[in-house]
Amino acid sequence: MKTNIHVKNRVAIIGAGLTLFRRRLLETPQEMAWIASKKALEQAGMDFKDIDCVISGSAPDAFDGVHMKGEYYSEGAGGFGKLHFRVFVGGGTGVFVPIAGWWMVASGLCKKALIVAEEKMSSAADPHPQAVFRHIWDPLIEKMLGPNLIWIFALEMHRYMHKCGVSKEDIALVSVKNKANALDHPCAQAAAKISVEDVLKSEVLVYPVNRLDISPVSDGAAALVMVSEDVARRYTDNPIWVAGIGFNLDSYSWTNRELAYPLYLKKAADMAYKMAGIENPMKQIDVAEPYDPFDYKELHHMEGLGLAPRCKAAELTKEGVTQRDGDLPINPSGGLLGVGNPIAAAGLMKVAEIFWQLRGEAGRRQVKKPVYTGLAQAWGDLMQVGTVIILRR
Amino acid sequence: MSYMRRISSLDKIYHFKTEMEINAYHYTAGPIGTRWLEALKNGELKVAKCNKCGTRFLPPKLYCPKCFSEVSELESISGEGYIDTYSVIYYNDSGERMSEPVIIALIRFEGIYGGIIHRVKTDPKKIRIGMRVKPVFRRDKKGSIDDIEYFQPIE
Repeated sequence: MKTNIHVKNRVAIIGAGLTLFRRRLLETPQEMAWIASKKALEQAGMDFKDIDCVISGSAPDAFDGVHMKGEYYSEGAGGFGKLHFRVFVGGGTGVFVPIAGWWMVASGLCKKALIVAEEKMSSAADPHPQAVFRHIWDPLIEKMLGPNLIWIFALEMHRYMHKCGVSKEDIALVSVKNKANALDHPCAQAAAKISVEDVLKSEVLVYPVNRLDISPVSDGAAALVMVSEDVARRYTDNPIWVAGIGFNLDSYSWTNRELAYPLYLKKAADMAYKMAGIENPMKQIDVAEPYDPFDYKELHHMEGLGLAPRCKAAELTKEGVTQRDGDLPINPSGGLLGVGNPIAAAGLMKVAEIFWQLRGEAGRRQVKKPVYTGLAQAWGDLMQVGTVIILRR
Repeated sequence: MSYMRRISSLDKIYHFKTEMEINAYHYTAGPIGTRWLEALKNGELKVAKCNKCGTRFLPPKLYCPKCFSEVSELESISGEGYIDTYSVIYYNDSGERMSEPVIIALIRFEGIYGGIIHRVKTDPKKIRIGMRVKPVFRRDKKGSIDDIEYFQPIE
């Protein structure tokens, strides 16, 4: 590990677990956290009592409908009588939770950390979970217009299409790929075999966004076990190391950003690459899970991450480079478009996927080429935060 | 900048008024919670039981709060419990004195981990910690904690 910072303990991931991702799960948020935690611990060969800190993450309380929901659901992860805290950077949370777990273990504050992300969006039932997003806008200049989340995506997508000369057909290929990849994911909610035609023919919700360009509303939870090197060596011959982390925040005002290019993400990625000693991500990253709540975001994020030259991600996609059997598989899990989008849990699902890919445990989702270094990324707050983690076997 | 005096009318300052609420939340009860509520609907207060470590507990959950094993069983109890602590509410949320005070209590049950918070109906002068109580169910039950109207002292 080449690192630009002092680290007391190297950090390994030794287990991962997921609940099903569904439009509505019967289980309570506490029970969802418990199911994901138990699965991650089982893979690690550990029990709840072996864990010394629980680091959790979840998007706004307004989804589950329990204020201070971190304190609420963490009980299911055994997060009492132990060190616990919740981190929250909106949609970026899923990757920020293992980042927070990394600093706890790397610093020596704890050695065996359970990382949990939970989201129960279905609780915010009436009128619709999306209504929670009515309240993320600037109250003075935007809220009165009644914006919803699709608006901002639509504006960003249109700007990206215009600046990069990317067509709707090019973008639809991402949705087609990810939903097909998800057919092999046992937890998937929105897996499907669809065509570009299907995407283009689905309803135009907010031009240029069609229904099949978007990931669904979901309930779900995900968990990881992150431990120090000495502990990892006792539990497994196959630890996956955290090689780099990065996070960065852009301006809250979307008027003050170039929407065609995610600068916040470039900065977050540069931080992670520096820590991991990566100089040429296109060559040195073998597999990646960029955040894909909308199909164009996969392309947008690949460019921010330096996994494609600017405005060239669509071309790579057309050439098949990003397929599971391609040179740079992107979202082999099926991503948010295919597996589902329980916000924080969706981001952590991506980290879990990279963990399984690097271990060679992704089953039918396993990418064709041998993989040594992988990256997961999430994005959120008011579309302005980038969170990145790089794993290595 | 701040206003030194209280502004009695917002007409004087630019402001925007919106509501920031979801109209209704739908909370699912979970697989064990569902069965527990069904028992309440039948007029029975049950507890969850862990088959691994034997802990019997309230409130019911899919996992054991002691050993974190999966829980699939509910067990009947007599319903007789005791007051661990209580409080008497004289004023409501709006700051008005209530016509009749309401007693709320943490009620525990012998041999059961945890407990429940509920109303107790008795003379506030007579209630004491350690007093034995039992649930009184409503006639019309819906499968909710409110199916227990209150707990009353056991004479």
